[in-house]
Amino acid sequence: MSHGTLIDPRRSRRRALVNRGFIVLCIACCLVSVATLATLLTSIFWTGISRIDGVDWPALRGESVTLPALDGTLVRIAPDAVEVVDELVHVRLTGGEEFTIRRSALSESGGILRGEDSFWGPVEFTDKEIIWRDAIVRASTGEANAPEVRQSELQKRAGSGLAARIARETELGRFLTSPPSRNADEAGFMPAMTGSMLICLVCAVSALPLGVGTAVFLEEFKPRRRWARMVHSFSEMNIRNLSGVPSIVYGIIGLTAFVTLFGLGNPREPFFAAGDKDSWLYVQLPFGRAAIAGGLTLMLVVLPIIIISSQEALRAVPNSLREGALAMGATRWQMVWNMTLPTAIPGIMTGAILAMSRAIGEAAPILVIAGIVYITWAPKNLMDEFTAMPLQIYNWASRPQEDFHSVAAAGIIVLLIVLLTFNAAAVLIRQKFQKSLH
Amino acid sequence: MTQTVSDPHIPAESAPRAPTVRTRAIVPTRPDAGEAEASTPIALSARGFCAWYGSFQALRSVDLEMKANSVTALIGPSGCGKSTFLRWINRMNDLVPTARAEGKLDLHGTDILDKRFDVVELRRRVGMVFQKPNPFPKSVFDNVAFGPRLHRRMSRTELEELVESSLRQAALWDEVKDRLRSSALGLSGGQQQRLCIARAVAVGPEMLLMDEPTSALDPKSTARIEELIRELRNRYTIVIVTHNMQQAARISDRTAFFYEGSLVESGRTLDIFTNPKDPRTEDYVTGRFG
Amino acid sequence: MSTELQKGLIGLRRSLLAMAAEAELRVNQAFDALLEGDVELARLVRANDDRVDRMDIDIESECLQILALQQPVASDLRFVLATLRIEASLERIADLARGIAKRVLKIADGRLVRPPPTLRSMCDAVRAMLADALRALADQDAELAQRVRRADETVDQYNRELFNWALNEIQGRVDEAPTIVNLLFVVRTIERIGDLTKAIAEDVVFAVEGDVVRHERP
Repeated sequence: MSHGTLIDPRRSRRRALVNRGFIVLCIACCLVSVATLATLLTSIFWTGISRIDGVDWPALRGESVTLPALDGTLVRIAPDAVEVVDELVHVRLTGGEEFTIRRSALSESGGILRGEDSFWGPVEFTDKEIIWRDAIVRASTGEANAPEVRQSELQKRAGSGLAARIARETELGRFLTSPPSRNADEAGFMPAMTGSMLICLVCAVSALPLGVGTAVFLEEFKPRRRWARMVHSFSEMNIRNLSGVPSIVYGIIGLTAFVTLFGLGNPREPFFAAGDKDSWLYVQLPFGRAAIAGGLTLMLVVLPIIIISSQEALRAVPNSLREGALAMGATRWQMVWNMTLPTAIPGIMTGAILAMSRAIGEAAPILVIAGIVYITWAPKNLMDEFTAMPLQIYNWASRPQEDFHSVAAAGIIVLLIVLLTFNAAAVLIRQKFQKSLH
Repeated sequence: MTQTVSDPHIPAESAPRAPTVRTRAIVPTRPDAGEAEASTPIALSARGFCAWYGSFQALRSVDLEMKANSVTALIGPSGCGKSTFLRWINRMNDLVPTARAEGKLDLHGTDILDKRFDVVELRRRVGMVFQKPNPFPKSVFDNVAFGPRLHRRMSRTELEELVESSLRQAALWDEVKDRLRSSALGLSGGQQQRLCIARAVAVGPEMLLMDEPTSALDPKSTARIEELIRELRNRYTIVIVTHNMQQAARISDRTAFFYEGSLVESGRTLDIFTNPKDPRTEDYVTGRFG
Repeated sequence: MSTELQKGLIGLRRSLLAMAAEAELRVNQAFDALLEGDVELARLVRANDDRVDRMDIDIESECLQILALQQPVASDLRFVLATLRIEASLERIADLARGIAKRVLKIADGRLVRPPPTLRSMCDAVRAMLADALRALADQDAELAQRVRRADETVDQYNRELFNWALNEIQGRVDEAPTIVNLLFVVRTIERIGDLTKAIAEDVVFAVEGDVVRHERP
């Protein structure tokens, strides 16, 4: 039989067609996913960007903003400004009206001004002028030609670094550093961010050693006897199952185990307490709805993930290296501690960072632990009540006012940025160490 | 049938002329030869050594002796048990759950198979170099210092001296002395294998086991390592498993031929390759099978 | 090249040149004994120890060892092969020299026969051939070796002349026949030494250039 009879032109054509069809199908799937993602991101950004990118950018660049000068404009000066104003604050509206306020006229709370002139509304500082934005000024008398106060003096006292300026002057900065409020305009993300960071820290500190240690034991110290091997594979299987458990279940577990310590005591009246409630070194048992309970619950959520990814990282260490270490007279433990673990660290770190990025976004267990509370301060210590970013977003999103939805979108953007940073870090680490192993 | 009269093993560096093989007439050996032979201690001795993997018997009653400071080559077709034997010498087969052994296997008189014998100490005294170079993903310095650091605390200068002397022994010092802190994985294949040899000698072993150390290398690196093995013979007893018979002929003093789990013949390399006694040995070295 | 192979080849060369020197010495001594009628010298050559024989066996086993264990190739392989052949020739040459000495003792009494000057010329020619062949071996000089091959012509010429002389001489002096016949044997032996020397030169050409020039006209 010659080679010619092996080739059937009809089948070849059909095969080529099917091949091309597959490629087209895959590209279509790709495009659909990308389109979906793009739509999602665009809508979020669109909604949230107004909260972040207000009209302050021009102000920072030194341009003045033209605002309609209305009669009956109310103006408010933020508390920061109260501290630093020396004697006078000069105010000028774009319509040309100008006012001067005495410092003494500004109250400590910095909300409403008493005195000759009443103003309330957000203030912005530029290089040279103080310009009112969205201001409603109700002025009974106005006085023009009052001496200007040098902007630079104000800035120096309040911190003139760029970060401090941004924090004070930009909408984004304000968003990130203030507590939430009933006013959508004033809502801030700071307690949520701090709370999230704190519980993630607790989660990392508790989950990493536990998870990596378990992975090392499961991977490197496999038993020989039959019954021990059965227990070993049973545990491994269970851990894999645990990684698929819905996270709200962990919330319930955390509630029982950490918040109320299996019902042993009343969180509001802890049977053990040490330290001052307001200092950062305070311990109480049972924990109550504390940051530490939230952190430990998150630990339960991410522990199976860390164990599995660490196991994979350990498995990726070639067996030839293990033999090499043992052949030089290393004990099992020395081999693991000096060779296998350092070699697997990049993979373990990548897995850990990815686990953390999942932990940051977990709303359900935190909801169960922290409850629906209105927290406007950052947790003072580990036993303090807390809130987390997903929780805060949920909080805002569930309010009826439209304004709060845009605040929620802003929160989502911040959360996404944090997640992206984590994932980027994981990718970078993996790339950097990938080539060194092979 | 030609006669072979066993001449004493004379270390190669002392005499440029080869020990004589009489092909026509029997001539008495030199009278002082016997004393040189007897004074070399025996490094490894196997008597009736058998090994199993589960129910499969991999080695049948091996009797073999290796003198100190010699190079012994183990040759034979695939699956004949030579690697198994090698791995029992430093008890690497302990890692295989189904492996077990019986008989006597003595290292300088101490029974290796005794369960009470400290395996970690054994592996320090008997180093191993593998077929595929396996340097750790650490720096060159840390690779060589890995072994010594396991066994005892050393000062910085002590460690640096030890690393330098090990690398010199492995004929690698000149090539890496300026890049001790760079990753060992950046070295070429031949350099990596020499690094593995340096790593093995850093713990001060008596014996070096090499499992086909050059089969993954190019000819030039192979030649360098063969040269190295000849030099190392002065300080260590070397056992090398190899598929390459020409290599066995080039570098070993004694050769042992394994076939299907049995030690068929062992003797001076020159005799094995010019006039083997067993027809199976003859068939193998001439390439008629295997 | 591995140091083991290098050492082996150097040692082999040394051994071969030592054996060559030994054989050359025997030949020179035999010729001197023949031409001067030096009976003492002849006895010395005849009674020599078996040093050359031992060298023969030793060099052969050295070659065997190098071939079996070091697998030389190219010029190294040719060198080892040539060494085997040359040392066989040298052993034969030494043997033949001893044979000459034995015959010298036999004809020592027959001083009435004066060999013609051609005999001395022949001896000198063969001496020169041998010296040149061994120098060509030591210096790896193929040119010189080729000249040695050509020089064998002269020796053959002398052989024929002396053969005719012997024939004539026997017819003239029948009672001296044993001496003359012995002399003839000696002449033949000298011619054999010349042939073996030519073979050595041909093996040198093989070792150096790789051409097999045996059985070719020089």
